Amino acid sequence: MIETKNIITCSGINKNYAGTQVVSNFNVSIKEAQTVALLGNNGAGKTTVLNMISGSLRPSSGSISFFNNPELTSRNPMVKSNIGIVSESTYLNEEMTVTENLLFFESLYRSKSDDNHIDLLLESFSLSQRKEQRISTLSRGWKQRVSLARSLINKPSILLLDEPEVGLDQNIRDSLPTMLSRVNPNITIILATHNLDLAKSICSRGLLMEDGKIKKDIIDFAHISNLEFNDTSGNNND
Amino acid sequence: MTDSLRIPHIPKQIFILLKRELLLEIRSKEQITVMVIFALTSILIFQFSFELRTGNVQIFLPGILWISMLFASSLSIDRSMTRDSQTGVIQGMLFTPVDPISIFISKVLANTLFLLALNLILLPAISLLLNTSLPNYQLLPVIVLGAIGLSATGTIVSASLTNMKSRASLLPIILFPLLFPVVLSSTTASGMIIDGYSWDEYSKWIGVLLSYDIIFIVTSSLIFSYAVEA
Repeated sequence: MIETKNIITCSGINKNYAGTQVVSNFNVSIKEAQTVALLGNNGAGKTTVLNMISGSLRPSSGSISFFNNPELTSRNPMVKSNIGIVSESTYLNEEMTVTENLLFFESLYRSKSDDNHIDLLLESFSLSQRKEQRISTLSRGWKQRVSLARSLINKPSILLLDEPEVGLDQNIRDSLPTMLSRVNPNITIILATHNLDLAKSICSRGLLMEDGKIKKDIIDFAHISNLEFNDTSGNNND
Repeated sequence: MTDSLRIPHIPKQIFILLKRELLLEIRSKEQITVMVIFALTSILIFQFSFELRTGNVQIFLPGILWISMLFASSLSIDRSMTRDSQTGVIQGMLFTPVDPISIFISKVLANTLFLLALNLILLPAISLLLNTSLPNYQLLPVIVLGAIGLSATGTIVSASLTNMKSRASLLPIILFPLLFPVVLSSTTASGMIIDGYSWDEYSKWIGVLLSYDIIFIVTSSLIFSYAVEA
């Protein structure tokens, strides 16, 4: 069996907000092309962990490194070139069209535009009909699709998804794993969600979090039948 | 793993980001509209209030010009940062490999261009309303350097207050004292130019403005990413 290398290494991460410990001694190594779900109730620390991996939050202590290189942190431009992010905020320019937004973000990653890739993203997220519409005229669900397309504009090797299902129709949710693998079949995904079905459809490994700590690390996650947390998708996992 | 060799260099990043700022302003017309209405209203108020008291409003010309610029710029520049933080675009840009310095410089350039555009309306309006003629070409370096100072300071202060709840009340409290050297040197230099002083006499104030701009742009560029950090 070929040994895959660690693409993200979190070592002893702690995060405090005004004296409250939000994430405590978080240690995890994620291998290339691994798909990991961060699961847990509200306040478990899922989003904080994602924010620290993306670099938008600094850990109070501990370190996060990428590509098996302790010197590569999330602030490094090469690391940033390899990360795509979807979160509650869409990060889109409201007064620009769908295509303009994709072209704008693409231009920040690479000097030459790749029209085929943009066409693939527009098609994958069924955005071709709306590509000339301004973001301000789109509904929350359509904005979320554009946000997903934006997160893949740089052909990332790491994708951080913070509750990407918010605002998406059921059919888009169902086809999300296919869309993601179509853009990059070897992508490493970290997904923070309450939705166990979505997590199982995308991820092969699950990290159940509670009070900022990893409670369970489930390697054969797709076959797990229940977990002790409140799944907001309607499934009873208690 | 994608390498970073294809990331655009800093001048190109600034160009891309500046193009975005201008496109958004052309579409929304938020900043220019706010600035023009506010500046013209201020001039009218100054004209009526000073003329009633003194009968000669022309001696207040430099003060009227720069106070109008100061207030108009503080409203407009803050709008630029608030728009980007509300939509999350500023965070979205920081997730990309773009250098935060490029984001700051593009915002300063865009805001400076908007302030210069404001002057295209403001100077003729002052000449018309106050019945005077302004030496526009000699005022140009003062206006350009003053606009850069207002933009750089406004952008970094606005960026630092992005995530604060009391930003509306804090902005003028922090911004106006910091802008004191800009307003003082711009007003004095403009007054001396209008009164017909020579370059040798007013150039020291241009020097003060230039020094302020350089110091503020360099230091603000370095702290911009910390200022906008969530």
